[in-house]
Amino acid sequence: MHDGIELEKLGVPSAVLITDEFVNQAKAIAEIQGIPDYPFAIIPHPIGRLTPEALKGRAEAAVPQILKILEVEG
Amino acid sequence: MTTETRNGGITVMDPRAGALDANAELAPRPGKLDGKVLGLLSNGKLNAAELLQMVGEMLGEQFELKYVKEADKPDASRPAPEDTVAELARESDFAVVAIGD
Amino acid sequence: MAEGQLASQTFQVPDTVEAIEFYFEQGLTDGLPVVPPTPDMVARFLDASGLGAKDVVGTIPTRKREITAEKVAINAIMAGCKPEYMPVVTTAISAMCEEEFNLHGTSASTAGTGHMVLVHGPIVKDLDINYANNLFGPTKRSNATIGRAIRLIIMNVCGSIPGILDKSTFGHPGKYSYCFAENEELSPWQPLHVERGLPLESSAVTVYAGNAPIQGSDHGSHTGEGILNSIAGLMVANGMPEGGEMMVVISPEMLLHVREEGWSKQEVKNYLFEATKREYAFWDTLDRGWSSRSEPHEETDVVSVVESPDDLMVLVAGGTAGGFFCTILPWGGGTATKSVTKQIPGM
Repeated sequence: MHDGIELEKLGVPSAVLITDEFVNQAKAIAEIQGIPDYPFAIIPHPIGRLTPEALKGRAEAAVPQILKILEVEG
Repeated sequence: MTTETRNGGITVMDPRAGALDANAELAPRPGKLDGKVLGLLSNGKLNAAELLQMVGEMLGEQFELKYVKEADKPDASRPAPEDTVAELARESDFAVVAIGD
Repeated sequence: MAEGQLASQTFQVPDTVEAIEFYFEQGLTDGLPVVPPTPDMVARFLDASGLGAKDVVGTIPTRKREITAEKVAINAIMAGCKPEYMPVVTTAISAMCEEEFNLHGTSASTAGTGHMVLVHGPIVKDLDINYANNLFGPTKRSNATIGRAIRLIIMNVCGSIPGILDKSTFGHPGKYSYCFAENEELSPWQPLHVERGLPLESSAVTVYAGNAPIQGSDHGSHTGEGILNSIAGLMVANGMPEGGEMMVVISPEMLLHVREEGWSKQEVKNYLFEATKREYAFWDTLDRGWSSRSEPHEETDVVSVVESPDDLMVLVAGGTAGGFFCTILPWGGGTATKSVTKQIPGM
């Protein structure tokens, strides 16, 4: 979260991926960092123990959210 | 031991401290991704870099990205070193960061 | 100091019993009742601390928070401290705010560590801090409330609310309070603060992001080596060679043969370092996730549970009867946190 907001401050639009278990924590940190409504992409927990196939599913779930966060046109 | 108030009650104090004021704004959105440099920042947790690479490949299939720049940080529990963020920001037009576990 | 200098918001409540309920309702306790902090008490605690209300004891930059002496005092009162405990609490918080301790990470992580305060020097006797029977259990007001004050500060000032910023999966009972001292009289060795360069007559704290103590025993060994081998066995069973520190607390009885044979603390650390060496093949079977994070290696390469004997903190404490010891692993197992020893100012 912190790193995404730092990138935003440096002028780089960024999408942060978090799992659904960490929404409360991510919101708390976004608030501390001064962007309480900072958008992030939420994918199902967990990540670390997934097989490559399952991980691909997470990536597929993340991409449309990333495009929305970045407000990509077309 | 207690502070009496006029109405016979007691006064007690707030143990909390709010965060210091911080103001930050979102960067201008990129509009289109074609011809842009994608920065990926991994926090080094298991599968974070792999997940980001998959996201990078999928975005690469959808858009004509200029190239993908990867970075990672040495310690997932701390903010990334300033140099790492600054270098990524210098090269990238937009970024994806992972993973909050 | 004058109560008028206090900056915290105040609340009016009908009486002490209602005040206790008020703090529960506001989500400002660890689940136990708190002592209602009134402005006159806060002023007295600040006097005992030698600090002004606005003095910053430490900062936690990732959370953009400053921990002022006033907030330390309020939480220390709530925890049930006496005013004279304040220098221990403020020094411990100051030490936890050192960069290498990583207060943010250690109090946000799923790994759920406690924030230990180990007290050294003459202040141990002055404040009646327990170093003997029931070391990690309920005994003295000082142990119970100093550690509790630390937890309340981490929750109320730093914002580590369970389920929000504190994502501990299990946590452990030491998160209610985790404060004790070495038995400096029965230990044949220098206490930790002296080992780290402070004068013997000084008082100090060591803060450590410690997991729960894991107890082991040896009531049968007749040699120092036998005892140390028992300790090494538990270190290997619980630790992983991820570059972090490890604390070993040995009871006075357990130490008998080690003391009689005249082992120095350095010799003990060196022995434990050697006795906890195992092939990578062994470590890999314990934690498959670890093997993918570790440095490139051959299965037959050998590595100890700690990187260096200096990463071991060896202490003598606990009741005088019973051949027991504890290992206490650091948060996360690795190098993202480091213990910090700090002298209590003026003591």
